[in-house]
Amino acid sequence: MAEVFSGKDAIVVQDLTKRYDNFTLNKISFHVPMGTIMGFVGENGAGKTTTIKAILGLIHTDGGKISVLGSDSRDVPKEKKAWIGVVLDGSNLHENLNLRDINFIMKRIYPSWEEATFFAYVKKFNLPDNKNIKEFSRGMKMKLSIAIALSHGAKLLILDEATSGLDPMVRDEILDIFLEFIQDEEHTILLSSHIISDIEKIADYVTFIHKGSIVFSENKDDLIYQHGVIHCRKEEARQIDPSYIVGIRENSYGAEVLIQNKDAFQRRYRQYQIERTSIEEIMLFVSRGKERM
Amino acid sequence: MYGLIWKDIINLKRYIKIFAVFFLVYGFMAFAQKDISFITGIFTLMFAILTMSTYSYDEMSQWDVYALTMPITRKDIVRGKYMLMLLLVLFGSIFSAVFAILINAVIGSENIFAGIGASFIGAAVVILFYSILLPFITKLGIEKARIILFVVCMVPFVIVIFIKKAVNTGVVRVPDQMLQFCETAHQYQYLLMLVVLVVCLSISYFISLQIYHKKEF
Amino acid sequence: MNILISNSSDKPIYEQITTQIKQMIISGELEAGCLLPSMRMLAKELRISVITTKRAYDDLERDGFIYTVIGKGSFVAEKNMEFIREEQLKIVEEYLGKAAAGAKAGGISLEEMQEILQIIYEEER
Repeated sequence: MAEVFSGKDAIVVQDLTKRYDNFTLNKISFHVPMGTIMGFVGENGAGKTTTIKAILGLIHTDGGKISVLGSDSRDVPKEKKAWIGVVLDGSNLHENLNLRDINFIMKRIYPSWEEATFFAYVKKFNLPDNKNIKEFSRGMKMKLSIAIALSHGAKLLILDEATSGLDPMVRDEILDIFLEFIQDEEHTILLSSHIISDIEKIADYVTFIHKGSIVFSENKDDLIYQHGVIHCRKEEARQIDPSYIVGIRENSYGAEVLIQNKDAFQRRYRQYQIERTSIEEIMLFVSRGKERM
Repeated sequence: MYGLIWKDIINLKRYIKIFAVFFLVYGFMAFAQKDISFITGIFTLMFAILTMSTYSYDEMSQWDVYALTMPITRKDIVRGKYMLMLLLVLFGSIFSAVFAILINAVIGSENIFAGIGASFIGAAVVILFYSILLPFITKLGIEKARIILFVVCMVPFVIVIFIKKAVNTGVVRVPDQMLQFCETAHQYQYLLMLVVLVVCLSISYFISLQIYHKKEF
Repeated sequence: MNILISNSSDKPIYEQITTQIKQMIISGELEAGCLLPSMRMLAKELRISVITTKRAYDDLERDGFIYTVIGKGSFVAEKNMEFIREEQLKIVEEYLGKAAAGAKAGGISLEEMQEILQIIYEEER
């Protein structure tokens, strides 16, 4: 068999629990195999950022275990942290710094800092080298954060909404950079985004979190090819074996049913034409369809 | 951790010009008044306050949460700030001492080293204040801690003034043993100061570490 | 090597890849011993998931069209006539299945179908 994955996991989240006043992350479990791109999707407030913060040890947890690159997330040795490139939502750099200042500082924080790589990305992203960050647009700040994350020999990229502020052309460029990053099978990416199209383009696996719980964490191909949408009358929809049904949307003219286990379903219900679906559609059905049921 | 200190220093670069102007102006005034007594205090203080500015910068840019994703531990962040504070205070007091010596030399006063003691006592006082202040800043953030700062600065003054008044008006009688203690203490004042500083700073550092370890981002 | 994938086709992408590579091997466009692009490189170029390309290569290997040497890559296997014949059979069955469905829908009998097939075969000779 052809080998392309090392079989190890870059990140393992087990029964992660975190309670806030008005929100709870409830026994979240999923794993990110090394050498893959994991798309982490969910609506705003679903728990993506909380999960990522827990993975990075930025918050304390109320239960569960997380391992990152083989170490417990609460105890990642300093040297390993240098292998993790992080992009958080928004810019976390002081406004009065310019690119040279940032290079100067990062050189003294990351033992593995690659100055040439950094400036190559800066040039590629057209970032002005004589202006302070104060004068950068939101998109430029994002690109800067990404440039930093890619300039210290990272093996694991964790990105929280890293592409949200960018226009489609730049997003495309960055997705290509991510695909290039993955060429090394010891490199892994965890990318959370609410721009589903980006995830659909490059993710190998997709984890969908909804109201603090994981709805699914599967490989993207299986997800798309094993789900489908059928259109039928409302009464027909009610007749279908519920084990196939993920969600139903009714309108005045009929019903749309999102089904899973497409092959088995097709064999059993030959009369229905199954339409191809997308991750976005699956998410919508799950978050809204179930409420209807 | 050193990267963090550099980060703070670079952020403070913009103060150089403002400070230069201040130093020239005050220096000139001291020269004109032939009195260095106030510049020793002011210069040390100016450098000392810079530490709080770095906290502001960090808070505004939400740097800490980002820094913790780097090869930086929570201990590094706390340590970096304490070291920065000490560096700035030390630098400030040396700077003001040298400045004082120079001005004394220029104006031809008898004791050109008169400013040194004051500079370092000023430094010690600042460090003491920061010992109390830094854990509060660590816990509450710089914005909320400003109120504490105000209180911390005012309270000792108020107490000292109060005691002074009480003693002067005879309301309180200072027992002789106390006076004797103060006499002996005065001889060892520098040593005593150092010990007190080290103890306070250590306790402060330890408390700040505990606070920061529990912090959530 | 030209591989075109369509996102809107009903056929899963890994199947589109295997079909096209198989056809290139059968037609001789890809010769035996030829080194195929790595799964990751192919994934990047086509902008699809590595899992998809891995599935495609696994299927090709299972069907005997390629073989993998660990550390070196995947190579086109020697043209195995049996495998090729099996592959063509699968394609023919698929077409015949569609023809049969169309015939039934139009009320065309099996005998008529056989006649048509005979004519086509004789024409092509």
